[in-house]
Amino acid sequence: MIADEQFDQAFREVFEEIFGWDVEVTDADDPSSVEGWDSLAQIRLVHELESRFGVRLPDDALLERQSVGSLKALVLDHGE
Amino acid sequence: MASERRELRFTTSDVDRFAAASHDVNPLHVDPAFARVTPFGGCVVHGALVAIGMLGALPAAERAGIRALRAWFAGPVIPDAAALVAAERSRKAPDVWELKLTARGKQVARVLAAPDAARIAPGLEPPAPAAGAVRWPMRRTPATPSLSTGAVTAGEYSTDDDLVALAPDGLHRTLLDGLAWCSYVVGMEIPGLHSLLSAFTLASDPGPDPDRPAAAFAIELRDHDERTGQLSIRASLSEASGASLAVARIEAFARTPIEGPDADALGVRAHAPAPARRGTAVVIGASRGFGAALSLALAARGYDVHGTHSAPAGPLSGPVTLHRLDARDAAGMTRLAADIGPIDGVVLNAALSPLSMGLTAEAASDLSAYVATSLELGAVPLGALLAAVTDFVVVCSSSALSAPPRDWPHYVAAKAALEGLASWVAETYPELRTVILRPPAMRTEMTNTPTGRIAPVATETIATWVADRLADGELPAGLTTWEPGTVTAQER
Repeated sequence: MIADEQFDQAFREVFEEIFGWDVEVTDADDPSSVEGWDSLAQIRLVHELESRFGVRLPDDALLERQSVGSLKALVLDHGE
Repeated sequence: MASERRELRFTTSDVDRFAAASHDVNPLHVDPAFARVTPFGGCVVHGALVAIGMLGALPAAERAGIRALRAWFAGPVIPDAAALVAAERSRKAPDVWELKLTARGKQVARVLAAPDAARIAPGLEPPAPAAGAVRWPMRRTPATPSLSTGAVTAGEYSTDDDLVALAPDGLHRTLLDGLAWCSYVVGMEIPGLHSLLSAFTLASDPGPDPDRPAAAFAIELRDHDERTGQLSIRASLSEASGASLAVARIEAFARTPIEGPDADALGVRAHAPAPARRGTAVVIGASRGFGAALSLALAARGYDVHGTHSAPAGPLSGPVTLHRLDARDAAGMTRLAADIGPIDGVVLNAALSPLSMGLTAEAASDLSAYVATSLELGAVPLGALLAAVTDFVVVCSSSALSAPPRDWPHYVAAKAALEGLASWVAETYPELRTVILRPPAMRTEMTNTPTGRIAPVATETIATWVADRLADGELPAGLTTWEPGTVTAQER
């Protein structure tokens, strides 16, 4: 398991990659509170998380609306 | 810092000129017949041209210094439709600008622009070198390549000077060439014909010399996700001397063309005796997708099927009489009713492709225009045919009414309006069997998007389920709602 701080930093970088260099999100944020987090962004986000953390998330994750916090949990669940 | 806002509108002529100058002549942008049968329902503006137009919102002095861009595209920009661009300095670095484009009540594109790549695009890497790779001449028609990860393609590339005339004043030519080239890479090379550009990061040469013509490029497919068709591409653009002009990371989606309905799965038997005749059915919107599948399924159960369609006929063939007729053509529909005579059943399936939309006060008129047109696609044929119908009316709605998709408020409202019409029919013609059909997302060209291709149901499955129930005679008169969301192939 990578250190929490390192994990959070990598997660932040994924969000910056998808939503822009200027974005700042907290665990409570979800598609309704982040501008541009639509269905296409969700797909790009899941692909980027998979590539960054070397995990394969379930297909449902490509479509489901989740908070940043639950996405983190999902990545941790599917990591080693 | 106050942001600058301005209206941005691209004409069809702008799109054609950009296609000619960039050599991205992908038919999604320039061929209305091709674009009509995509999820967008018509031509869309090149993403790179959108980004170029957005840079016009920057103060001229800042614009001239831009050398690196990141762009994200969340929805199509339609020619001749108004969009609004806002430019703002980044909170993190004052020399970086963030530009947002809003259309149909939704953010459809975002651009970060900076004077150097280090700020917004660190770590961009060129494609792996491919020793001895053939350098292909520029394409005149889009490729349909196999999408093998790791494959490197090299080719010639240059832009025409009209590109400068299309762009806001002062943009550096190398940046402009790089933008046009990103468009060319996706629209003409990888994934080529069936492509959607979703994002790119572009770092152009930081030097001041704008007079360095592009000559060659190399691209490497880094990643291809089969679930959604997402591709990640590394690309580099260079001068004839080999000196680098730009490096890019491009993200795109490859769309898989939808094949016509499977006649076998629908019960059509080429050499079997004709089934007992049940009567005449008219399917409005019959040449592709669910309409085509249901037409074949009804024909296989003994109906003489007349299908109408407005776009050039799709792959439907077989025992269906097709009429090319816009569902909103009142005179044409009235003539069709007179030609056919008594009708047992009618299926209202014509629909408009729903472009993603948000609900804002400004976008409400776009929403209501969509609803009005969608309603006409049902009301005109119904008005022309209803007096001749003796058995059933099927109104194709959608499971979207039970689970409204976030980006489709107009679609949900339009289907609700059609369901209202069905209720009126059931009340006014109580002897008819009136059905509101709410099928799940099916695999059709209308839903052939990165999200739409995840777990859709085959049109044949739903068409067979519906045709069996219409033909078995057990459906009572009056209003029935069918929501075959959990139908599986075994259940049919």
